[in-house]
Order: sequence, then C-alpha cells, then structure tokens
Amino acid sequence: MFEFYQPSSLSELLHLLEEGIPDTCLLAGGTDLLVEYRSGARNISRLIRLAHLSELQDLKCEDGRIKLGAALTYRTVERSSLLREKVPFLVQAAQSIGSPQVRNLGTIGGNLVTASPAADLAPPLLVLEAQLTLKKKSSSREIPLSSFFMGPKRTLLDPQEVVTEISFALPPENCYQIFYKLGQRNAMAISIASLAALGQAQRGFLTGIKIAVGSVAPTPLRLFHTEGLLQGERLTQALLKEANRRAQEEISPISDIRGSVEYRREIVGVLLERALSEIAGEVL
Amino acid sequence: MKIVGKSIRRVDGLAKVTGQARYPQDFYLEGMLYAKALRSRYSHALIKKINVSRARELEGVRAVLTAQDVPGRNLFGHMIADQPVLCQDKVRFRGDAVAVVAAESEEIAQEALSFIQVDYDPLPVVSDPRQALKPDAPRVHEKGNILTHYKIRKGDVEKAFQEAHLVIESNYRTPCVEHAYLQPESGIAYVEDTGDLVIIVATQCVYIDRHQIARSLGLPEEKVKVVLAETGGAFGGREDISVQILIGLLALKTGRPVKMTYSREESILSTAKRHPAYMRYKSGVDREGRLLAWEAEIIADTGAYASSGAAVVQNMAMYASGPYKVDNVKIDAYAVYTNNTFAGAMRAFGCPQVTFASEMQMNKLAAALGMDEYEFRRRNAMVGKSEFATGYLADVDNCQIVCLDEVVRLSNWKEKRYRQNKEAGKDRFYGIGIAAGFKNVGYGSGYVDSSSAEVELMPGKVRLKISAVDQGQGVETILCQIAAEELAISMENVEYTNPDTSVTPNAGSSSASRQTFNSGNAVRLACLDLKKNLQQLLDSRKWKRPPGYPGHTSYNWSNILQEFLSMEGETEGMASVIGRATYVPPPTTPLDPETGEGIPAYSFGFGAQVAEVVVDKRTGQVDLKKVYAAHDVGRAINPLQVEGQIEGGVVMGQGYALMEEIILKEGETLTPDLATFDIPTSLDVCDIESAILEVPDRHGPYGARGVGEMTTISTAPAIAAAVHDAVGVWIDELPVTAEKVVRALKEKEFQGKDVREETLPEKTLQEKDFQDQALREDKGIAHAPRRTTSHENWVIFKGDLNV
Repeated sequence: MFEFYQPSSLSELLHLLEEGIPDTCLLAGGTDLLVEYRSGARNISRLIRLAHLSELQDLKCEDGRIKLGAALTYRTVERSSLLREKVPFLVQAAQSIGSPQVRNLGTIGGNLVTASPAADLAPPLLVLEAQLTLKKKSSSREIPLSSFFMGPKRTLLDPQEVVTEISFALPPENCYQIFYKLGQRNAMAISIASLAALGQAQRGFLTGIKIAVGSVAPTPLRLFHTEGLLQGERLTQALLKEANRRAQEEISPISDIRGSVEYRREIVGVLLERALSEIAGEVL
Repeated sequence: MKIVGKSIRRVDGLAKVTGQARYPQDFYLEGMLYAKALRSRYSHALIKKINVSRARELEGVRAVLTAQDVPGRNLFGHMIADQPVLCQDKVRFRGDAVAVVAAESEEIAQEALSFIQVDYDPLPVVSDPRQALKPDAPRVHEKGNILTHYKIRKGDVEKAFQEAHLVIESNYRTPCVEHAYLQPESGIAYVEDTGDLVIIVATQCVYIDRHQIARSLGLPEEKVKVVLAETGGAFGGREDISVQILIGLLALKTGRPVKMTYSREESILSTAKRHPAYMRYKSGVDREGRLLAWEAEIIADTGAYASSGAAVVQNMAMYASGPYKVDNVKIDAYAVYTNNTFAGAMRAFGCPQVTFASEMQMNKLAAALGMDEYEFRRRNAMVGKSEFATGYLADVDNCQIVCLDEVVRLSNWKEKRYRQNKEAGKDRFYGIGIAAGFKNVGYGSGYVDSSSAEVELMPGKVRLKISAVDQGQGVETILCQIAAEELAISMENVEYTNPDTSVTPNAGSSSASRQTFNSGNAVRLACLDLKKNLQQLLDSRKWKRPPGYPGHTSYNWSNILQEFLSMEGETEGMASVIGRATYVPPPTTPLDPETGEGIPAYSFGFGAQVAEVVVDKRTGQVDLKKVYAAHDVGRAINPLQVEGQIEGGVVMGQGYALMEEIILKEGETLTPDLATFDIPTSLDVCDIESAILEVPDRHGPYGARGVGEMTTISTAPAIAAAVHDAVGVWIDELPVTAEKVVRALKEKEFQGKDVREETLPEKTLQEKDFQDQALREDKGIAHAPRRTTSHENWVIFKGDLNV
C-alpha cells in the first residue's frame, strides 16, 4: 500500500519531495517502475504522478539549444518535426524502444533516471553532450549527462530532486548523426549493444567526433579516449584498428542471457567501424 | 461440394473480435474467492515442515491447503501420473506447488503466501540430462532418472556404414521453449446444489481433465463437470493440468466459487515446455546419393515430471530418420528426468527436434556429395508403398514429392540456389535453404484415438454436440462446415454446442493434428446416422405432415429436415431427432521395446519449406526475408484456415530457429517472462507464401488430413540451411543467434578457410534433375490440385498503429 499524489504544479511536486518520505517514487510512464513494483523488487510508500505537470512537457529550441521537458514521452519525441529535422538519430533511438504501447507511456526523463546500461536514449544524448536540470525545493543545478550515471540503476539524483529538463546544443548542420542498436528482434528488444556517433570529415580529416555506447559497461558510456585518438585524423585501416583497441579498453561488458563479453566486444568494434566509415564517407 | 473446400468465415470470429467471447478470466461469480499457489523455493529439496497457521489467520483468507488436504490420489500427469497436486515430502522443480490459498482478493491471497513457512532440506540438483544419465547423478524420482528408452533396430547399420561412400556425423542441440499462448492458464470452480463440482477452464480436452480432477479429488467422474471456456491458444501446453485440481479442491473446501489465473511468470515457470534435446546423428550414403544407414542417439530432457514425455520421445524415435527410405536404421531415444521445468506436448510433439537434426544431415550430405539438396531429397523420399523405420509398410502416395516439387517451383529455387553473386550490401550475404518433414496425424502408437459426435435436429436448427476444443485452430468452423455439407443445409443452421462433459460426447483432445481427421469423420458419420433416423421416422409414418404440404411421395429425409429448420422456436410436443456416431481410426501399435517394430500412425502429413535470408557477416544477424511453405493436407476443408495454420507454424518455426530459448540454470529459469524469452514480434515476421496441396488421404473426411503441426517442423532446418548458403557455416545448435553465427565464422576463419568456399555444390543442376516423370507414371500417382496464396501485395505496416 502507498500514498498516491498527483501534483498540479512543479512547486507542489518539489514540496512533496522535500518532505523526504523514504521510498518516495516518481511515476512518469511507469514502464520500469510498475514492472519492478509488481515483481516485488521495489518498495513504494509514496507515489507521485508527474503526468499533469506542464512544466515537464516543454519541447522547444531556444538560442541554439533544444530543451526537452523530462516527462515527454518517446512518442512525442518521435512525432516532433523539430527533432526529426534537427536530431534524427535521437528520434531513431526513441523509435527503437519497446512497442507503440510502451512508447506512448515511457518518458525521456524516465529512460535516464532508470539508469539502465541499455537505456536507448542515453548514447545519442551523451554525444549531444546533454545537460540535465535537477531541481529541489531549495535549489537547482545543471549537470552533464556524462556524470549523471553512477552505475546500474544508480544516478547522482538526490532523493528530494527531480529531473525537469534535458537540453543540448544543436549539432552542426552537416554533421553525421548515427545510431545503431543491435537486439535479438526488431521490437521489444533490449539492446545487446548500441552505439551513437556524431562527427564529420573535412577534406578527409575527422572532426567533432563523439561516440557513446550502451549495454557494454555498467552505465551508458561516452568513449572519450577513443574520440581523442580520432580527432583531426584521416581514417585509415590502421587507425580503425587502433580506435577499436582503444574502445575495448574503455568498455567493460558482462555476459548475460543476451550476449557474452566476447560477442559484445566484437560488436562494439563492428559498430564503431561502420559509424566511422559512414562519417568518413568511405568504405574501408 | 458447396461448403467443404470453401474459405468460410470462422463461426467464432465475430464473438472473439468484439470481445463477446468469454475466456476463463471473464467469469465473475457471486462470492468468488481468488487462489494463489506457493511454488518451491528450490529446484530439488526435501520438505521438512510446512506451517500455514499464520497465513490462515490473515484477514480475508478462507483456506490454506497442503498435501494432506488432497482427498484423492495426490498425483496427476497427462499420460503418466507422477506429479503431486501439492508436494508433501519433496520438491523436484521450482514450479512445484507446495500450498494453495483462497482469499477474498487476489492481493490477500498473494500476501498470504508470504506467511507460509516451509522448511526445506536442499538436495543436489541435476539440470543436464546427460549428467542425469550417469549412475551417480542425483535421483529425481526413486525409480531412477530414465523415464523411457526407445529403440529402433532395422537392418545392419554397422555394415552399411562400412559400405557407404560417405558418412556424416554431427551433434545437434535444440532448446527448451515455451508455447507462449496469449492467454495464461485460468479457471473457475464451484459446487452445484447437487454437490457436483463444476470446473470452467481453458483446456485441450474436457474429458482428460475430468478424469484427472476426479481421481485427485476422490470423486466419481460423473460428479465432476468440466466446461470449456474460450481457449486462447494451446499448442499442446494445455494438455496438462494447471489450475483445475487446485481450484476444485478449494471450491470443495470453502463451498464458494474459486478462480485462479496464472501470471505470465507462473505460466512459464510451472507448465510444460518443449523438450530440449541433445542429438548425435550419423548418416551414410552411397555414390549415387541414396541413403544407406541412419543412426541417432537422442537424449531429451523431460524435466521433473513425466507428463506426456514418454510419448513425445517415442515420436522422436519414430520420426528421427525423416520421410526417407532407409534400410538400415538404429535409433536410441531417451527421456530423462532432471530438476528442470517438466517438458510435455508442444506443437509437433518431438518432431521439431529430430527434423532439425535429420534435415541438417540431409543438407550436409547433399553438400558433401555435390548434389542439389532438393534432388537429393527427392531421390530418397518415401513414395508409394514404403517401409518405415519401424518396419511398418504403408502407402504414402507421392505426398513428399509433390511438396518438394511445389516449394521448389514456388520459390524459384533452381535459379536462386545457384545465383553467383550473393552479396546483398556491405557485409551482407543472401542465402536460400530447403527442408522437408513429416509427422503423424492422430496419436498413433496404440493409443485410443476415437471421437464421438452427436447431431441433433431441432426446430430451426441443427445442434452439433462434440467435445472438440477450438483453441484458435478453427475446428469449430471445420466441423460446422462438415455438418452443413453432409445435411445440405446452410452454415447458419448449424449451432456448435460448447464442450461440456455433461452435454457433449468425448472427442479426444485437440492435439496431434487430429481433430479435423477424427472428429470430422465422427461428424460425418453422425450426420449419416441422422439422415437414416429421419428416413426411418418417415417410413414409420409417425411424421405428422405439416398442413398444406403438397405430396407424400416426394418425402425424404431432406424434406423433413427442411421442415424442421423452417419452424420458428420450440414447437410444442415436437421431439428432436438425433444422429450419433463414434469414429474409430485404423489401428496402430506401440513400438516393440527391443526392435521398435510397430504401426506408428494411420495417416501422415508431409511438407517442404524454403527459406531466404540475408546474413550480416560481421554482426551475425540473420534477417529472415521469406519462407515458402508447401503442405499436403489431403483436402483443405477451409483453405483460409489452412493458410492460417501454415503461417502460424512458420512463425513458430522462425522463433524456434532464431531466438527462442528458456534458459535454465540449476533448474532456475533465467528467462521468466516475455521480456527475456523473446518470440517474434509483428516486425520480425517474414513474408510467407504458402501452397496447399491435396493428395487425398484414404481415411480422412473428404480426403483431409491434419495440418496443425507439420507446418512448424521444417522451418528451422530450412533457415539454418539458408544461413549456411549465405555465409558457409553450419549452426548445429538452435536458436541460430547472431552470436553463434559470429563465433562459427571466427572458428572457420581461424581454421584458415575461405568462408565462401564451400557454399556452392560442385555439380550445377541439370534440367533433367527436376523431371522425374517416370516416377510419377510408374506409381500412377494421383494428381495433386494446387492452391497458392501470397501476401506479396500486402502493405507491410512497420509504423505505429495509433497515429
């Protein structure tokens, strides 16, 4: 049994959180929370529904930044003409999640707060260098997504805080946006590995390369070291090999029912190679 | 014929799509309680003590029962009863029920489970059937871990292998899989004023359920009434008892109606699975590509309880050498107990496992011989009077040949198989593969296989009474079509009575692809009986001529029938006329324990399928593009429904081939739900083109034979063959996951071979290979009418449905 609240404003929500009741849970789409609750893996003493908070439903582009309310559903992301035009790979990632029913409920904030290593939106948002706005009654802070994840199902979020907004700068116009997801089937699939990349090749030299991966480490992961190796370089077979080696050092996959460590490592190499070849505009 | 052979709309369709159909979950009775079972915490343990007193004290709890409350035999099982209703001293798998609760709400019942204290003494677990065969393995049952060992001995395999031009030996493994029907197990029980116990349940046979319920509750069978609720899929999984005995027990104890519905997790955990199998196959051919010898050792994991495992494994033995002529056969098939979830019946009953192995062997042999896979099969197919591995001599006509010919024609095999450039994009390769397969119609093996029907002519309608369960396969429509055809009336005049042991006669279970065949014949015979009785009524001159009826001389059964049907509602004093019949199919026998000799079945269904794939060589992903499926059904009573069976079977085969696996570790299910046990979604299902072939059966109604199961057995080996054609590796273990493909390619690379090297047979195909006219003429083989269907013009909808 639990108390159920449906605040009508953000300040009401923050007030409820401020009370600091243990096992307070925020219900956005519920596609993870309710599954956990039903299985007995989650205690809930106070459940607060976010559905009616207009403050969490923003979707706008201001000063070259896209600002997304944390309670936007995947479905809204998929259908937004702004996002389709500006960040098609984020839309693609949203479309790869679950089924239409799941996407009608699940939210982008929920996808990140759940902190699954396989969160499909995380790799594209990581390469977009998204910032999260975390609010509590007394204060507000902005942190980069890359430092938000602490481990599987663990984040920096304070129990009295809520993620209100996810924002990122528009990627450069002629930048490649790539999202790959490898799952066992074409829908309702939890990824075995995923990869998002941004970047372009100017006169054959790679610039603005950003790469992030999912399902191959305790958290979704930006491959900073691999990026560093590639920046400003011309893509060659040898560089690709080296980039793969560097990426292997950065990831730390596990074996589970969906795939082994060896396979995940193999696949990250393949996805990385494909992404870089696409950006460089050549098939190696 | 006016109705048989037509794609009549399903008689149960409208109620199902409008939500009028009542599944067991939809029944709410006054004062109803909800039941929940406490399942075992261990895969194998002794029960030292069970304390339910705290659970009983919980408010809203009406009963907490354990083994000592079971009044009758505390054992049940579909064919062999060795599974406790409630475990008393030992648990053998995680799905074992230890106690059961009835409470005022589902939540209270669930909560009560946590107040039941069970003290266990854990025992060593055996979860690999190969380990379980060892003499020092933990014993799941007192009698030892081997449930059955079937042998087939024909000719002299040793000698034949020595004489063979070429021998291929391989080890295969097929996984444990779940039926994954839409509707989880559910039922409701109550006690009538007469003291009779009523069980409303989704099942495959109301009579087999009644027998087991009565036995465990210590009631005479006539005091138990089993009524069918709508059944949302079954595929063999509802042959076993699930909620029936537990709710009956609770209804008797509390005197109130009791409902129990499994969660998906409970369904996956505690009900029968498809047997995982380890199979060693060895096959030899002569220089001309004729099969000389076939040897197989099959170890099937039957899990903690027998269920129908012995019969499933007997079927594996009988069909292990495929639909081919072979003079020397040696088969050993073992059903072995382990502490895994028990295995039982699942669509095609042992055939998917052995067909995967035998068809892989056929494709490997063809490749090694440099012979076309289709031609190699055609050369070895059983045609006309053929001797089975069990020594049984039967005329199988040219059913296998027509399926092979048709699927090759339909798929344009000749051209696609020898396409030189198989590249389909960067790192992507096209492949095509073929497989055949056959399976028995009906239980066979000496089991009682009869079906009884009653047809009642009443004012305004003909009521069909038969206990054939429609679990979605469409038997209700088929039987109504047959009654309408036989009586020359319209479909609207036929009313199908819901199966109910107190009303409808026993039709046997809806399994083994048998209902169209057996119950179809029973309905036909009952209609004949009705016509005879009508004529007698006329002859006895007891028939009261309706006023104004013109002449007496033209009176016949048909006139009377029409008179009845034109009446509105009940007419005072008007008795109905009844036709009754029981159809008993031709006899079969169990296999001889030493030689395997016997009559396996009285009818067989044949098929052949071709699969097209594109494989990503780097990621290993297999993209199934299309499956062509040709199946000989003898006579399609309802072609649209046959097409549905073919498409459903192919999709189930696709899941088996590419993704499905219940992973068990020390008896614990690591894939407990549909988020971890992946089955194909609508975005995975490939294009399917089916061909319905009709070489009439000697005994089936209008020549029809069954089709429900045969459609699923050839898909996996056809897909595995296509993967080999694409990238040159054999994946001997299902499912063919992307990871296995990558691993196999790496191993091959390591061995320093070009992976593309072996994909093309040395010999290219000659036109004459496809024309075996002499064969047809010799045998005077029946012409097979052909129907083909295609969905090529369908819009494949890949987006959302809620735009």
